Amino acid sequence: MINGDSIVKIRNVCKKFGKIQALDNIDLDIKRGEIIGLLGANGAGKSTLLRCIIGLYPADSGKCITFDTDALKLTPTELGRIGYVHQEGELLNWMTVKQLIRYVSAYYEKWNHELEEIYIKDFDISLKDRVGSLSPGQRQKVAILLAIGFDPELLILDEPASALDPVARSRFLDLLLQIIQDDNRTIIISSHILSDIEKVIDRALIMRQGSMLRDCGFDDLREEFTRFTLSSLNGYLPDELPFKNIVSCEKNNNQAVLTVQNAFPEKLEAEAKTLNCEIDIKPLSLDEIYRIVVS
Amino acid sequence: MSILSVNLKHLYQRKACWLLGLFLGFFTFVILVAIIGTGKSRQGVLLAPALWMLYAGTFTAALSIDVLTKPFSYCLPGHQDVPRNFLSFIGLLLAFLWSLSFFFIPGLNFVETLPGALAAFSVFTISYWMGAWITFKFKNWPLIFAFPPLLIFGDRELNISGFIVRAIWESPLLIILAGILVNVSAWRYWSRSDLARKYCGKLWMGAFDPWNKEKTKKLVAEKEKKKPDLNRVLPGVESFFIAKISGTVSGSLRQYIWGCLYKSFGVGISQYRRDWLRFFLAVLLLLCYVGYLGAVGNVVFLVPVIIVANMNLNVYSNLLISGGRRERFWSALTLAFVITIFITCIVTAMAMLTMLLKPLLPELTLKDNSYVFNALNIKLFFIPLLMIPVVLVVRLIFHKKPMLAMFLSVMLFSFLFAFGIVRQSLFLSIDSTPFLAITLLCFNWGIFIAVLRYITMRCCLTE
Repeated sequence: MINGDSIVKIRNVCKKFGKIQALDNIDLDIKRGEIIGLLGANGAGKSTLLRCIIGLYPADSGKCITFDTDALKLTPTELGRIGYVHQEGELLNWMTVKQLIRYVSAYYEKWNHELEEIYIKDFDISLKDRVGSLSPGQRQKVAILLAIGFDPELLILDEPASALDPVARSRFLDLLLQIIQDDNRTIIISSHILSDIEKVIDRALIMRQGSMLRDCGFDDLREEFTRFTLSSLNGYLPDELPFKNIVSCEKNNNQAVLTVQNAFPEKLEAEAKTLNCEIDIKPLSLDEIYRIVVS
Repeated sequence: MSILSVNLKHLYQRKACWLLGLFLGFFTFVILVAIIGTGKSRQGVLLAPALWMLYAGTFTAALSIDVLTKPFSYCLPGHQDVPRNFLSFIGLLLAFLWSLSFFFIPGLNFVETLPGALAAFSVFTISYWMGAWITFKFKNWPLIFAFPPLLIFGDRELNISGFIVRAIWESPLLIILAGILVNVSAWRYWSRSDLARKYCGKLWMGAFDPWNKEKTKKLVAEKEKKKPDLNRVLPGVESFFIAKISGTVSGSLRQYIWGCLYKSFGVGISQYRRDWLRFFLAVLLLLCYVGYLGAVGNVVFLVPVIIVANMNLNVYSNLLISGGRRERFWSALTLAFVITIFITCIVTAMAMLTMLLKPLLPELTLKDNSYVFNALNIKLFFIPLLMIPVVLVVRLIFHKKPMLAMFLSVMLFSFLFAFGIVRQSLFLSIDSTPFLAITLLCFNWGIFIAVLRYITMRCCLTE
């Protein structure tokens, strides 16, 4: 069973689709209040993992416990605490947006009508339109509203902004920043638009081919990799630079751009001084970190 | 590889074409045997290849439209004439092959056969171009599949096949001239410069597109845009169901069952309430028609069962509401029961209506053939009860391919009929062999419940 504040506990979960290993021995604990970014290429297993958490997919082996319950046996009590936006955007096409909101809200004891009104206004949603006639972006906006309308404790967003235009994406991020003010709310966001989610996440999960490549705090991940420009103050740089754990290096005669792992800035500065070089350290974006990790 | 080769490779070699090929191939064999085996005198046989060519024309044209609607296909410079060339090549080749079969008719020499074969070639091309034209001209071209019963009826009454046979053997020159005229007109019709532009990038339900869910959704959305009332839920119906969903204890089973019923019947009830008179008249007309067909009319008991094969039990859904797997199981099971009871009541009511109509409808006489109105066999009310769980199992297993599920259901019924299983088990029916009937009923429902339970509790539940 789950200890402490963990609301999701995954142990040795494997899932195969035919010959494809979608999840390979995944271990994961998700604590209350965390904002998690789930990163990975297409087919990395992100959506499968999210669907295992809410019990839509059964694991072939291992255990997936959500809100102290086996994910396959989640009841309305637990599922009523989970909001889910899926990337396919499946909704009930024959309903109007208003009818769909009424239909979904009818299942929940509490529905945040105030949030609904603000959201509809901010995102310019037409209630009269038939869901089937909405553009992919509009559908995604409606799907997000349905997932957050009952103030879920666990919000799972699977590619929530992929179909949104830049303005709607920016509004969505503002909304997300508002939502995460609630300390009790846990959010898992899977997205390809890393520049967006790096503003909100505090933990990063990086997946590749069904395996969890990295699971750490986002700040730790940022500190793990450092990129700096080394400029020689007199003459050429030495052939071999004395830095450890170099991930990448682009060098010409008197300047080099290096990316290193697990290095302290103070130490880098000290080493640059001994080489009689100027050092300019710049933080890496999540996108750059992701590329390094998966490569 | 050129753009043309890519188009040909991808679109004219679709997997479903093999199925079509198998279907046409089977009939080719049957027709060939009939032509060669029966000789010149036999009437009716020549109607079969003409009909075959009509269907070949519709399908070849449908494939061509499939390609035409793809952007960057035949709207590209230098490609505009490809559909015409493709249609002509296929049509002329098939007509030529069919007319060759005339030379195998026993007891005829080459000189006797040649004019007849040329005239038959003309008839086949006319038939082929007619099929192609129907597909290009009418959006609802698949309705042409309802044509054979009418043709058979027309042939019996008007002797169309006799007319064709006489024309081929007695006035071949006239037929050949008509053939030339039709072929030239067809060539000109498919040479129009606006043909490619008319179809390029347009949303079009292709020959094998009922399999394509995304495209079907888009087409439905397009239709709904044009007809705002289509598939629209009436406010009263919506309020009724929403009150039921929100009125029950949150998280209770009843809530999800009402929700499932709303999703499945909300639109249907609204449409029925709007169009009930048209619906009733359509049923009445259908009953009058099937009543005069004799025992074959009892197929009415099967049609709704096959329609159910396309019914979604709402087991697979990505839209997460707070219902769990248990709720999905019970709501799907309730829905299956409700559908079955509803359909059983409808077909029973239809059978009773035919019993009421029987003394009112007269005996019809057409050209020495008399047609008596027969009431449907009410004992067959048992068919939906027995067969709906079977088609629902097929639908649950092939949920990602609803058209395949429907096709398999039709195949299954054909198979059962072929071996007389359904007919016997149901004509034996509830009153004559109650034990067997009830055992079969329990067995089918047991299988359905077991499969449903396994899927809802152990399988992936996304679309």
